[in-house]
Amino acid sequence: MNCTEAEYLAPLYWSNELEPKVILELEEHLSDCAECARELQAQSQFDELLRNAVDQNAIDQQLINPQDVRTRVRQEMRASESLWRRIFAGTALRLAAVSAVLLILLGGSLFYVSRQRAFERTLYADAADDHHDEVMAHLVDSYWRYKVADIQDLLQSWVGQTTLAQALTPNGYHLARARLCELQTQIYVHLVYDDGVHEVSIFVRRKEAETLAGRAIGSINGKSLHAQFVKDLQVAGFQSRDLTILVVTDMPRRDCLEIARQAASRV
Amino acid sequence: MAMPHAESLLRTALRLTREKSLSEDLVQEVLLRAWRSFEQFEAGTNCKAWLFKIMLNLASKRQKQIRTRPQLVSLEENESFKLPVTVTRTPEFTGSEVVTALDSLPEEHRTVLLLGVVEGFTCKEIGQMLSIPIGTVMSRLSRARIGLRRKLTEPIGRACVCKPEVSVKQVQKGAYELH
Repeated sequence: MNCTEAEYLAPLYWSNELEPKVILELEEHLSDCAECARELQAQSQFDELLRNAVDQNAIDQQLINPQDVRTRVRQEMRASESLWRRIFAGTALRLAAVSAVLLILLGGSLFYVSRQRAFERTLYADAADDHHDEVMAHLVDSYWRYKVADIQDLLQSWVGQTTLAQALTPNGYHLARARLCELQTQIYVHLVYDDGVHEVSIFVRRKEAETLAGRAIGSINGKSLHAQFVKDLQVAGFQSRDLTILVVTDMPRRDCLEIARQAASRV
Repeated sequence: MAMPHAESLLRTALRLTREKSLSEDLVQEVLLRAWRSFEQFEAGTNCKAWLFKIMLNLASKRQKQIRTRPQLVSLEENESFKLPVTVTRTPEFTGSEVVTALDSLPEEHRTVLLLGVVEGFTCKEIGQMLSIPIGTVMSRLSRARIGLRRKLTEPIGRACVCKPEVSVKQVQKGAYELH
């Protein structure tokens, strides 16, 4: 390396941008060339002088106050953010109002659905309880109608169909008795069928706005069939265009469903 | 992330603009621009260098727009620039004298001295900030260093151990690999 090359590379030497092998070559040259060594040393001292001077000058004369600038910048940032907030304030308010309405609607829908499900779950339970207390345990023996004509009158009055008792009769069963009962504050006609071994309850009412809860397990003639196992009893339910009908039995599920299928196919 | 560099930015801005209020305005705008366009900052790169690049661009634009102060004529890159003296020991200049000498340098020389010597950026970083080749940065730095020393020594006429003129010459590139 010669003096001219050393002079050219000096800026990279001071900024530590030279490759190690070039640094070695440069330092070898400096060890051989007193003039270049003095020049680089002098320049290093000037560089240090410049750094100190710029720093000291700013401090001595209090020419720079970073804190002031930082404060101003932060104020600007806040002002800028406030401006955006103001721009979007109206929109945000409207969005909040729409969101609130949607939330209320959503909450109301969820409440209605949950109430409906609770109602239906309790409807199945009520039907099971009624079957257990009035049919199996005979806890209530009054208010029953045993004559077919009386049962037909009952059905005509509350359901509007005189022949419904016959249509709902499960294969191999006969109509034993009937009475009015209340399931979930709604009046049903409770029909009891007997095959000599088992008794089956069929609850029927004129359909209004109610729906049956739970996932449908099948469909008979376009009627969705629902089923639940409640307190050791099988409950199956379906709705025709005009009627809501529940079947309750202590027999196995398949028997309960078969009775429900027969009934559904006839109404 | 940018706020800690406010002092460095101000120090350089002050020497570039030579006015306190202008430098503060400049740095304020730099920091705000950095804040607003922070998504443009590449993670893992030198934040200080990014801020200085913003500042140099802004300063350059302002300089072009205002043109109110007299422009110092810079020397052409290939112009021969003689160092009249070689100082073999550091003379005892005051900080004020050094700053005055610095301020009297052409802007492009003042800029590379501030970036390279005072702020410690590498030639490569300076080249990226100013969008000029690294060879040009090296050349400007050499000329700026010599120019500053000449400014300091000439008017004062201090006694120095001198040698006759030493020219800064361009060295053919290629002899050494730059990285």
